Amino acid sequence: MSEHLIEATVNGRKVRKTVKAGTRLIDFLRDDLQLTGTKEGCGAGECGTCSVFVDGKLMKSCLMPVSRADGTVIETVENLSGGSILGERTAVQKAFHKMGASQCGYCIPGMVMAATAVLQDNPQAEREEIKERMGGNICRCTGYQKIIDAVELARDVANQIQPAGVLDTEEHHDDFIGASVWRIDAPGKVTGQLKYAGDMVLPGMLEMQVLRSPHAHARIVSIDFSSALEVPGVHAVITADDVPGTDGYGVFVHDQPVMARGKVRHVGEAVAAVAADDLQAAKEAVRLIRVVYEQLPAVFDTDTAKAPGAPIVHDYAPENLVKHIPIRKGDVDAGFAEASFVLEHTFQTQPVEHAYLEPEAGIGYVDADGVVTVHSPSQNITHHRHMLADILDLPINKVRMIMSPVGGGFGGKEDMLYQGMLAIMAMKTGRPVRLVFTREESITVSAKRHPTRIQYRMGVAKDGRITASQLKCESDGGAYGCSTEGVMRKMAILGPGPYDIPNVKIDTYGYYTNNTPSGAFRTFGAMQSEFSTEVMLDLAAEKLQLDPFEIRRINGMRNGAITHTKQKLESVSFQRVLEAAREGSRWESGPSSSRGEQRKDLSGTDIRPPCQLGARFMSTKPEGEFGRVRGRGMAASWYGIARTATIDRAGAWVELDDGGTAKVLTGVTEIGEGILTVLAQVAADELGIRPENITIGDNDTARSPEAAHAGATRQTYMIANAVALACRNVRERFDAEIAAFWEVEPDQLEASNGHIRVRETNKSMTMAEAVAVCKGQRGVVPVGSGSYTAPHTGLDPVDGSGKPWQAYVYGCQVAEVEVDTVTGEVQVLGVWAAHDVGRVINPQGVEGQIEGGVVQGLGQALMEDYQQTDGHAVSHGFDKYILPTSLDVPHINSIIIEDPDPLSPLGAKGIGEPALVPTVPAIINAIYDAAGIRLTSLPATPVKVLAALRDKKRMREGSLEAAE
Amino acid sequence: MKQIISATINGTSCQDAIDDNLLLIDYLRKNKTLTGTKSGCDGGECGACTVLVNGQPRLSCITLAATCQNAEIETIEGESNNGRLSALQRAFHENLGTQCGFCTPGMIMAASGLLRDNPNPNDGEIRAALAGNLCRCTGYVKIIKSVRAAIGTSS
Repeated sequence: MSEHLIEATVNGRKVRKTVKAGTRLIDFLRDDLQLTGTKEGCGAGECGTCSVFVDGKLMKSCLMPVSRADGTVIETVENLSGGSILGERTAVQKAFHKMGASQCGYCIPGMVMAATAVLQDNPQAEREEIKERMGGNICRCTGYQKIIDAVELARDVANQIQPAGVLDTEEHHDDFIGASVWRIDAPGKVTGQLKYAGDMVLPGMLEMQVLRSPHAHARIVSIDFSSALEVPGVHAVITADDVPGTDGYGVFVHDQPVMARGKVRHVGEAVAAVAADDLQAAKEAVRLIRVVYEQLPAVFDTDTAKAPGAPIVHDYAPENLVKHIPIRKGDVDAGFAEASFVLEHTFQTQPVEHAYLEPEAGIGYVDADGVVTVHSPSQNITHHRHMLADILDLPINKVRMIMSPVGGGFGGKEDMLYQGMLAIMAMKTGRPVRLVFTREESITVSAKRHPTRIQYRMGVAKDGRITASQLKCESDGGAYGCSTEGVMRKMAILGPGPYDIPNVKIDTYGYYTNNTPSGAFRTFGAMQSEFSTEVMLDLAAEKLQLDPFEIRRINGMRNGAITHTKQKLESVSFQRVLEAAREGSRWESGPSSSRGEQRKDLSGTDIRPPCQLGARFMSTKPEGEFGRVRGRGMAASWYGIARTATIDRAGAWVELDDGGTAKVLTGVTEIGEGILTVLAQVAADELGIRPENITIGDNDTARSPEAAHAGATRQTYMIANAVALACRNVRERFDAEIAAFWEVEPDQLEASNGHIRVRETNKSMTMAEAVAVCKGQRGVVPVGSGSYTAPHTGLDPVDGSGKPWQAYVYGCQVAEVEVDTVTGEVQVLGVWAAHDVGRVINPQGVEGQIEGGVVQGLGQALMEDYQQTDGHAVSHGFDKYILPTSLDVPHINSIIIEDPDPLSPLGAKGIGEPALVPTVPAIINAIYDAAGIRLTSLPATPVKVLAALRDKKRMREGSLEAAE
Repeated sequence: MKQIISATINGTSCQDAIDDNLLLIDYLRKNKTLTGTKSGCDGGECGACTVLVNGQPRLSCITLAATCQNAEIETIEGESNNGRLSALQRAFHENLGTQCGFCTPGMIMAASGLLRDNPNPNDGEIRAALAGNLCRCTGYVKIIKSVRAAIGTSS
């Protein structure tokens, strides 16, 4: 293979390197120069995470052959802060930090480069221009709002409209809970210094590649990898034969082998893996593995899967049923009989890809103590370690999972996938082994949101009361169980919404098919069933000529309500939340119908007009039925906090350390939501010190106490309470010693903001002095621990009754949309999102979660669709799988409601998942309001919108003809 | 000047282009990422870098890699077989022959060379064979005990 000599100036230094022909600029930067701040998100120029400057021009380094960079001047994100986390950051980087613009951080280096380019080219760029010019950079966490806000702030500082000081000094707080403390992990993200798994290199590390199934369902007749082993540089090939222990894992049912065993059940399933000195050798060896398959009849939809005689995906489940969850309350037949009308509709939701910007990656190795160690961006290392120990047949303390920084999760990194292969390969080769997925691998192999059909019957009385709700939800679970059982449970429990309904009958069914597996995805099934409920309520309100808020007010739960699982709720904030959304959006009351342009509440001050700069063709004011029409819709939601229908727990260790600092150790999983900052704020208030003086230990099963997974909107609720209890435990020990030193009683002491004092006296010390006294004079190290329990109970297997959660949150969103009746395009112009989060810890972080959730909801409502043909992915890249960009996002108005949880020490609840639930139905209801078309199948693509508009026109013409 | 070296390392044959002045320890640690061999003094005085060349203990920090043309090289990584400790390694483990562990790879390789030449050494012979290997933790007592324990046990 030919080589090139590249001479370039990179970040101000001359570089001369010989590289292989075909090397991309991104590989040169990351592999040859170790500049791993530049990230690879898609490898196809679609996501922008790899943006760098070449001769001062913003370029996507994954699309540029390095040969073209010969003789150029290249600048990467590292250079902005002088190549170090300790260097002076630019105004753009500081603004990203201040505004909370980075969540998981993986898109951020590219965003920072793109933002820098915008302001270099036009220092006065207006918001619309910023959005337009950053349209090539995808972010999946933030919803873009805080990113654009940050660029505007940097611009204003550069133009001296705002003083430079705003970027450097954080507002002073005495109490940290409730304050928008800047994220403690943002500096590492905005400078590109944080190392994700794919950025890590270990000495002697091998690269792994995976051979994947080309068939949806086939028996493996033989695997011949002898030629693969002949490739120079190849160390080993592994197949199912190399699994030392019990080869079956999964969250609820252990049906998934590490690599296909005997047969493949979906396209893309791992069949074998190769480890070699370099990627090229590993790829070549994968191509040389010969697998003989015997194709089997396959099943690709739930109707076929449940029919008698269908191909069987797993022998243990002859009816292809993963799980059925029933919930029964009252008598639905009596309820329907009592109703003045019964609505019946069927809804269909689509499979959705998480599309975190960081593709799956990991490193496995066996350490000197024989402990098999895997670093990966996993959302649940606690459970992954349990599963790995069984797979490897090792005692649990001989398996260690270390969470590498998670570049976005949203549930997609909760189901284990490739960690077993890494561990086995490391054991077989004795070398560190790294695997980094391509974007295509990530999309086609990782679990999706369950596509679900919901058959709905709702009985409604004349006064608007729901007399009975009956839901039958059927979900495609794909080839493996993954989280399907839990998704079915949450879909069932929350399905009929936060409404007092005397008679309820819910059945959710998850089926096996030969499609890509479905698994955990933000809201865990609740979005699908609640979406249908909220559209049904709009239909009911229209029939009764009620305002959509009114029908929800009539039926909404209040304090003391009995849920569908017959749990009595003490504190229900739902009515407050409804009212807040109504007021916040200045909603014009009126019957739910196609009011559209007749409304008086359109285009208020909180509206952002759609971006006009090139992305959309210019269209003028609506004329007749051609043009754009606007309307508004609303929807509400509820959600349960922490693990569902099972006891939940989390632990933490805390030490008050020298200098008045503290160490907090807990198995927390920062996936971008800002939980580390939340924990630092809680510990600061509890210990009486400042958040910047707190170090939070990494999530490592060998080092930190169990705090379980990032999911179920549980981390603030479970782990912040555990940390608070651990801090109180420390303070008890510490205060006793300090009180003895001062010869006062411990209850006379108070500490805050780095000082401890005796109330109503002049006795006072800094915490640094007090720690020195506690250790040096009293001989006590102030350490403590805490464990928090949420005593949830399981559901009755027959009627589903039980107490699945102790804390519930409620939400309500209003969406304003514009429908282009010529192109079928829908643009969301504004969203007002009111959410009860319990006691708020960090308002900026809560807004970040709401904005990110709303934009994911917008994607699901309007554009995202993971399509498969006979089990083969059609949308396997960001060219076909369409994600919201900065050009699609509306202005999002977050309205935070605090209804503290009475049952937990801190009173905080959560917001991670719930923010997404009401967005989809609010947009779908708004489309009806604007254009008079009712879409029941997601997403509302231009094709579907145009078809619905044609149907509507045809029906109207038909009725006119009939009238004539 | 570069030259091609052909050698067998821990049973695997290798061919690499190396500089004339490359030390064997750097060849093993940097080119082959066999970091079990330690550098303790860079002057042939401590024995931490001991490896076997054609079965004989050699100080890899004062050996040019180029002099190992067609040689059979064994490092500490080659002692254990697929995760199974050798008799010497087991004896060091069971008799507390290792404390901080930094001299241990060299000690084991030196002892391994001894036992091949002399399968049944007396204490004086063990001491003499390990005289070029420094240890600062153990006081040597348990190292000698470990080598003695390994005598006569098969790997």
